[in-house]
Amino acid sequence: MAETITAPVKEETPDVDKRAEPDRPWIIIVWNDPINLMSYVTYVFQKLFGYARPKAHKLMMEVHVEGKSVVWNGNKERCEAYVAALHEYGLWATMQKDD
Amino acid sequence: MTPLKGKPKPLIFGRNFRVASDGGLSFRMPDGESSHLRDLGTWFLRILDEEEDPRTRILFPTTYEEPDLEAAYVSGNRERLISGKRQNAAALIDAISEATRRKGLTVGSLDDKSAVAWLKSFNDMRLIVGSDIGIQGGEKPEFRSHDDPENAGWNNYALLTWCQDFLLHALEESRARTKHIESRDG
Repeated sequence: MAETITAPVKEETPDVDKRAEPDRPWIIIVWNDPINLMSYVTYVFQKLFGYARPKAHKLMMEVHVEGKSVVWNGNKERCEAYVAALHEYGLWATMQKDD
Repeated sequence: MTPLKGKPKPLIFGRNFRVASDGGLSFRMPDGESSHLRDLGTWFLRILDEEEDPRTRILFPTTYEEPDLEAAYVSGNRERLISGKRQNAAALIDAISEATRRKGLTVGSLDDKSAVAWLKSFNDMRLIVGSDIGIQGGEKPEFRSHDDPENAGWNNYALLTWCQDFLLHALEESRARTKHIESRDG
């Protein structure tokens, strides 16, 4: 069974002007590095995100060939939790707002 | 990333990790090798405890480009991340210390949680050792002879890399067998 991360409860922020700050999702990017094994990165994508092996392998190859891959998107809190988990596995992950 | 092909020569730990018919995982390795892994785990804990050791920076990548967001992220996550890495290395050290020793072999079992802790700890140590010896990507993790002045770092890197790869395959096989049994028995 895939390891899952419980999303923290998002606090309501009624004073946020959504027209000024559109609710764009955040994205997680995993970057290529010279040390992590390709097999290990595929395993991490499967275990952490619950992706099937073909999808995990495809994302891993994007990282390897293109230098990076967007592996997940969602709200800021869940992205942070996933990035922290990726760092625990030793992958080079960053997050940013989707353009 | 590094593709891993072929097998190490000499293949001294090819069957370090075994999967039983019920999917259970175990390790079985020469005492010298288990002691070396335990020493590496102890070394890792030591440098993790040394504040601002530049070798550990690779374990803590920058998450945000924006300094204020990064500061908040570090404040909320760094200690927990360090604690997790510490616990993973301790799981490796403890399991080897508590394992049975017979006829020159160290033997013990690993549950899924411990196996994943070993996997993560192998990777943490590989990141530090690999960057220390200047891995650029694609180098084969080969053992080097004693007359090579760089043999210590390369041999550690090779040991950790092959152990990680073999454990990874054993974990996948273990899960496949467990899934098969669950599916068969309803």
